[in-house]
Amino acid sequence: MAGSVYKYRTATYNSSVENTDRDDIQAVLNGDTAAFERLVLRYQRQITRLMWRFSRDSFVCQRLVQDTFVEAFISLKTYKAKAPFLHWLKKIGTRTGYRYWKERDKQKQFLSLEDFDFAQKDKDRDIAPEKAANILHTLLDRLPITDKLVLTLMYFEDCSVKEIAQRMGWTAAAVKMRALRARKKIKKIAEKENLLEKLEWIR
Amino acid sequence: MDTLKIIEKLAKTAQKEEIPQMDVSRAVMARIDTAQQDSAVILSFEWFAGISAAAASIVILISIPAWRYLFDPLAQILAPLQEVMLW
Repeated sequence: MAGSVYKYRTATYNSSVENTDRDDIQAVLNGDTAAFERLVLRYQRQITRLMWRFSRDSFVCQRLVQDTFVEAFISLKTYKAKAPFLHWLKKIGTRTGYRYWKERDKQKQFLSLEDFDFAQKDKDRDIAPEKAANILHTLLDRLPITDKLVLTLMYFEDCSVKEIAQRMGWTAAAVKMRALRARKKIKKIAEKENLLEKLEWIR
Repeated sequence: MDTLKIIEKLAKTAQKEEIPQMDVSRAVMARIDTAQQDSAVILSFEWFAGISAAAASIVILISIPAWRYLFDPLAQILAPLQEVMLW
């Protein structure tokens, strides 16, 4: 299912945007640095969205978005235009975020699910998106970073196994295996934290 | 509901989360400018270091025979004595 989503996304990629991207990239390669600002303005929203999955601290997130674009500028010569520019940017972004996690992993501190208020608000049968994201991030934080990356991309970015493999340069089989193990681990953690009991009001 | 199902439900809801808007274009361009200036400085340093290294290696090549001659006692014996004009 997710694989088809990837194909769909690629197919519906706006060709006029693609042409504009190509012109801007060519301009940057010819020495017009200002053209890169147009690319940043065009894609910063999508990259911010991606980097928000790696850090929910807006200051850190902003730094990660900047790192992604600076790295893209430096390695722009290596962009072969086989996939849309945004895909290439997301690949750089994912690797930047993964690197950040690796550095942060040394001083790992966990939040407990006890810190969250699980009470049902206003007889609503659905949880607020922000709260859902916080809970999910707290659970994912307990996983080793490779497992965490696979599930973060699957859960938040709707990425397929193939897409994750392409972004990280891993094999699809390795991603599949990691996803399977990660799901088992997160299930165990969630059960230990009584997540089902706490969120039983969700439909 | 299964634990994994509820996690997936959380994920679906979390995707609708409002992401903070931030404009990084100026900061990115400033960092790129700085990086380009730094690389220009590094490049000129590299040129200077390269030329210095080449000059130093030429001096070393010339000075090796003189160094040997200075510390070889046999060479000192065989070498002609310097005649000094006294008057």
